[in-house]
Parts: sequence; structure tokens; C-alpha cells
Amino acid sequence: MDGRPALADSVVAFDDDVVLVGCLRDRDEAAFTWLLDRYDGCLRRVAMSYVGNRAIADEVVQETWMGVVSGIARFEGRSSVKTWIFRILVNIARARGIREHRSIPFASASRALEDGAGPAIDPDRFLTAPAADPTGHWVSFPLAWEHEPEERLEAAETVAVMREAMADLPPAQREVMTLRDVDGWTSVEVCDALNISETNQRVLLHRARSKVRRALEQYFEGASA
Amino acid sequence: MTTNVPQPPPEDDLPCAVFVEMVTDYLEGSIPGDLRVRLEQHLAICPGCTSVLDQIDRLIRLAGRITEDDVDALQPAQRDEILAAFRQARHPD
Repeated sequence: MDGRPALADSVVAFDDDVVLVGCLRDRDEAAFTWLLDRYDGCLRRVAMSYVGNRAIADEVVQETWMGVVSGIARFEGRSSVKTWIFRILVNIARARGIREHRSIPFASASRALEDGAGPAIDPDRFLTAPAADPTGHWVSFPLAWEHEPEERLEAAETVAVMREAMADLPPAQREVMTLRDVDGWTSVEVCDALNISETNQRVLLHRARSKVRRALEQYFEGASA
Repeated sequence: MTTNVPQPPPEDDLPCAVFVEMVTDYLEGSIPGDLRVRLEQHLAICPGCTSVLDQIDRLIRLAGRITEDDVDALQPAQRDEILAAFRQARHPD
């Protein structure tokens, strides 16, 4: 061990890619276990959005980890370990998606952007008739959720409505929203892993959130009607 | 056209329909200074847009709760198999 701190008491140091990669190359099992526990769930969620079948997602994740094992020696540190692993997964999942005849997120960035494009809020909710009032202000305000009891906002059922709304999103939007909002990735990490521009990432995220917001709004309004 | 909302003062020239398309950019901090000030002035007087911003903010927090329960956990047998592969992998040199 070339001057790195003793690993038994430095688990936190795996957050540092330089330490992590060094340990992985030294076949430090604690480092690999840390990686496995940290990213396996996230990899599974994203694999699901490509292949839509738990058994196949399971194989994709397994193949990804094997790719990590065999590829770590060639990892050049141009991206973070996290996005490197993720790109391995995306490539395997895309190949499987083709085999399973599923639509492929990001096959074409422009197509992905057109997919499910639409305004964040139904235009009928704004004053737009040019002669009457071209200001684009609200016809009626959206129902403020702060009037919903807190326990209802946080209820498992609300989370279930949200999960369903996300499942209905076009794949590229679901992908970005899953990584950003469910797994808490930064926009830089998402752009890097999915190889999309910052602008495309924001557009996809905005469309995804807008649709999920709409689904939650309908759920709350329907339930309080 | 009927309306049940008070109309904003004329100096607020930002249409709500435009604001709602900028919510994510606003939360990402990718709106430049002058425009950001206009958005914030608009928010201060527009309950509708304030609600939408609050809702997006809430759904981001809710999304954080869709976690591991959504997928199968790594099964012990599969975990062992992956760890075995790691142990067996040889150094390239």
C-alpha cells in the first residue's frame, strides 16, 4: 500500500475517486463492496427504465458489475467512477433494449427532445386571447398544495401516484428525472453519464417534472372534489 | 372571458405562461441576474406561479422517497457471484 491511509478506518475516503480507484486496482474488497452497496439499487432502477423487465434488468446489472471488475484497470479517470459505471450500464442496457425491441432513450437527442414535448401547464389555463388579454396570466390559480394536510402530501399513496406518473414518461425524461430527483445526481453527472448537453438535460427534466406535477395536481383535485 | 384572479400591475411584464416554463432553470440557478430579479418580482405578486414553484419543489423532495423499494434488492447469491469475480480478476500486469 503506497502511503495511503489504512483502509479499515477510512471508509469515507472511498468518496474520493483517487483513493477508490487505487484501492479497486489493488483488489481491495472493502472498496468494491462499498461501490456495490452504493450503486446497485440505482443501477437497477435505471436498467428497468431501459428494459422494463426485472429479470432482464437483473442481468444487465450483473453484466455491468462484471464490466466494472474487468474494466477498472483501464479506467482513466476522465469522468468520475460513478458516471463511468453508469455509462457501462447504459451501453449494456441499450444493447439489450435493442435485442428486446424496446425504444431506446437518447438514440437521438433531438428525437428524445421532441418526444412528449408540450407546455408545462395546459395553455387553456392562461389568458392568451390576443384581443382580450394577451398577458398570459392565469385564468384561475392552480390549487395551492399547502392547503393539503401534510400527512396526505407525504402519504405512501401520493408517492405511488408519483411513481406511476414517472413510469408513464417518455424514456429520456424518465431517465433524467430518476437520476436527478430520485437518486439525487447533479446535472453535471447526468450530462456526463448520458452524454447529453446541459440544455437538453434541463429541458428533459423540466418536461418530466411538469408532467408529474400535473398528475399530482389531478390526484389532489380529484380527491378533494 | 371570465377570470377569478386579480390581474397583476402593469409593471409586471412577465407572463405566467412564460414563468412556468422557467421553473426548472430558476431552481437550477441558470437564469441570469436581471431576469432572475424579474422572476422574483413576479413571484412576489403572483400566487399562481408561487404555487407551481412550491409544487415542483415538493415533488422533488417526494421523488427522493422513491428509492430502493422500487427495485429488487441485490440478492445474496448474485452478490457472492459478483464478489467472487472481483476476487478472481487478475492484475493486468
